[in-house]
Amino acid sequence: MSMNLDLRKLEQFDQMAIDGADGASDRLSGLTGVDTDVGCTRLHVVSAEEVTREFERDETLAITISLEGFLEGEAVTVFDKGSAGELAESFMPMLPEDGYTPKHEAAVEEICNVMVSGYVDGWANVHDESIVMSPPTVVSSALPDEDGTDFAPVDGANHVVSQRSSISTPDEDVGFQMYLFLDEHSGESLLGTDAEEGAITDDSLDLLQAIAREGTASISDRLAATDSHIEATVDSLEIVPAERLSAETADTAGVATVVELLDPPSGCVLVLFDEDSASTVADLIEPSSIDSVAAESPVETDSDTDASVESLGALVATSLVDGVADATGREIETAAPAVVHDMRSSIVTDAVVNLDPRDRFVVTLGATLESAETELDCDIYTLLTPDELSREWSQE
Amino acid sequence: MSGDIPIYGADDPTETDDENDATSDDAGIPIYGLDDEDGSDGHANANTNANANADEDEDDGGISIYGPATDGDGAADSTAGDDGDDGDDGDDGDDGDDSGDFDIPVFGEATDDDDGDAADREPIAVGVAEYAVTAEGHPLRTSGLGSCIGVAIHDETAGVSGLLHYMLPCAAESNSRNHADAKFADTGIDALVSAFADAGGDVAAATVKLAGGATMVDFQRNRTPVGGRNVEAARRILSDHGLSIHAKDVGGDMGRSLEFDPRTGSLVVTGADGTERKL
Repeated sequence: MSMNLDLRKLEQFDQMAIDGADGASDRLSGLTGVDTDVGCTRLHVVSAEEVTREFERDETLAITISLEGFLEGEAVTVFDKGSAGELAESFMPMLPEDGYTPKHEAAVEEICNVMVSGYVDGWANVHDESIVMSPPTVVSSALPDEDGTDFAPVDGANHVVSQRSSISTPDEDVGFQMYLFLDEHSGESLLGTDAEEGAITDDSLDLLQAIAREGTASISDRLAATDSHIEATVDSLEIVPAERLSAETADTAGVATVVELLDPPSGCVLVLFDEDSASTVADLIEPSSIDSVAAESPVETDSDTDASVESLGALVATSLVDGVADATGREIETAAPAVVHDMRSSIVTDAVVNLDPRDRFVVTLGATLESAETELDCDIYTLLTPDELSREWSQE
Repeated sequence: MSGDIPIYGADDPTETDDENDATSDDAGIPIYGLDDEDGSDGHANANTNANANADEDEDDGGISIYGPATDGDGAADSTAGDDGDDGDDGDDGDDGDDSGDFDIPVFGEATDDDDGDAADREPIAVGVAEYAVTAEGHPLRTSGLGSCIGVAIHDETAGVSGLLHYMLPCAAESNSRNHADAKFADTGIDALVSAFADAGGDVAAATVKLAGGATMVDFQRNRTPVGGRNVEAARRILSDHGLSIHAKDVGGDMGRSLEFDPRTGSLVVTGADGTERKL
């Protein structure tokens, strides 16, 4: 899929994704007797190359189903091993409980077959078209001695549309990712446009991917100087309906550093920790070790934890903003960082509400921080508006 | 491979045949049509697909055996159990009567009640840019309110209650028409009041409580904080409906979560610091 992403069509695609999830819920509930709800929360546009690499990770189950007709391409459903096992057992309690076995994998394969048929039915109904579906094939097995069939990406699919979803049963809530590798014609027809107005251009998507790469490198370089052993990954470009960005965020207390980007491009960077992780950060990070960053935009903080979170947040935000500036060749002005203690879901929703009230979607580069020494629960969002990307970045 | 391929989509005259052939060896290609009746068609295809896989994977024959199938899709269940998606995109101005739109979950029909015990009512989670109405006393919950507003409406006599969680003051400010009604104060309150009345609530007798509208971060791009504009919008639009606000907890700089109890008519507002306030 190498094309300009039509924002209007993306709205329709989002509708299709939800209709598909409804279809999958109905089909799974009806066929298995287990009351099932398949939810769809986010649409992603991700690099096909990166997704394909994801399939090759250990303990990942990826199942592909080929589509022909109105939609041509591959629908690939991806679970981590733990989720796959839970899903299998929630639908088939007679499975052995001594770990993940070939029977678990076969069960998930069958569940995927039923679920994707529900999606496909939903999509077909929306568009009044026919879609032919192949049997499922495991392209990456979560079993230790199995590799799965080699996955051949669809020709010309540079970027892949995916949706993060979950299957809820009375016993489990299992997350999964579904990737749609569309061939060029289907991609153009469903999501593409020749026009640049009202679209996110392919160049802009490449630019965002570049920001993700450069942002990761930049954050990592700066973190290395702190001796904190924290690693950063900017790993997902998401285009999310504004109201759903916080859908996966807990209501628990958190601490965030918020840095507003003053246009152009307008937006904000949000570095959000749960409270335990914020305390961990205070142990790992001596604010003075990144004073060079904090000094650029010092804020008053109430505690050592705040000072550490603010410093780390500012480091991350500065790195990401630098990535945006480098990629676009623009100087980007930012407001001073603000530290917020509140419910994590409220913080995320509030950032979205204040980003731009006009757009249906927000664009977010998602990132995580991980520590080799301890557990860190940290979400990072770089929030931008698609409309502005369309107006400003298409000329870069 | 072709023998196994189900075709999904366009109108299919062989639909009835598929059902009849469900236990055959898949010689007939199952076709999912636009007029798909979920229950029967679904069962037919399940068997077909299960058989196809069982053939390929003979030592896993048991894998294809599902638990006893229920009578189908359980529409009431999928609505009641849904925490968001069905409702979140709402209807785009046509009051939800279009099958292509999402169904705003209106709880309260006797069909979604199978235990008859009001004390055990499952709470209904109202997501961002969603609303829900109940005539069965289900508690209504929402969380993640910062600048957003939660509006609770309640008719004690009729036993009908509703809760809306909107994000922004005015639908006309948006770039697209394809937003959920419940995302905005104007379209959201209109939709809430309409669903409340449809469920038997008397708008003239209703009490209204609202909470939210905080300013958690001073964003420079917004000269007037969205939280304050949201509160003003609620006042104006509720007034347009002839509704007065009986209690409120708005403003400040802290996020909130809400739970409305239809049995008592109280709205419990929990702040991010754990403090509770009952309205």
